[in-house]
Amino acid sequence: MTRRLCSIEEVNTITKSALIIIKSSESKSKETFEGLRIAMSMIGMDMMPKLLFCDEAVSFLWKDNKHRNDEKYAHYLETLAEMAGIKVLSTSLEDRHLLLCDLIESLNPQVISPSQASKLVSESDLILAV
Amino acid sequence: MHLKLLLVILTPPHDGHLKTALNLSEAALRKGHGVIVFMTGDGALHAAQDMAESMALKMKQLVERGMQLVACRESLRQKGLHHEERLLEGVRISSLAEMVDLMDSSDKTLVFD
Repeated sequence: MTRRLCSIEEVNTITKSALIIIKSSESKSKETFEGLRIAMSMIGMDMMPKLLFCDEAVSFLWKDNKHRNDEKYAHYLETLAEMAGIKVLSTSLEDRHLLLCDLIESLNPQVISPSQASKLVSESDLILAV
Repeated sequence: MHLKLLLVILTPPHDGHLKTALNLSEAALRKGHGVIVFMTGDGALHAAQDMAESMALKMKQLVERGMQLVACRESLRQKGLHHEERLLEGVRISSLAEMVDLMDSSDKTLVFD
């Protein structure tokens, strides 16, 4: 059986830039997990998303968060951290008296200010908040 | 100008977001816009045949008027809804990859979470 290769015209090219804002608390972990799954799919489709954790969702990045031992969740986070990078809103950490050293080191989260977050929002074509 | 709208439903039926999404879809269809409702995560539960009758009827009417109703295959499998006979008429099974493609090709994407 011969298989026909796609011509260049048939391959969809992703043109939009995406920002996924993870904001929900651990009690809504299903929504957060779905947000991470969507982010993984975006990477699979060459739409490299930016990930911003804010509000209650910063707890997902704590060293002692209860999902830490969930293999699939940890795998998603590590892959996304490596491929897309993880950003955390500084004021969300401050409000919870958290420091960068309280977060999972291997995820290498980057703390950004509200004005930097606002720039991210303005630069993105597609914004998902979960 | 006619737009292509993508509405993504992530929340389960009891959250009531579907009603808002369907009202919005109805208004958009009336104005001649294209509407795709994509159900994923807990939102895939909306694709089940045994959901509230009024919502099922409304979805059927909107599908007849051109709204596309799409559900994520993996989410359906996780909810035990992977047999097509358990799904509402008009639901098309797809993947998150297609959803990302739709996000890219749609003029507006609205996520209900």
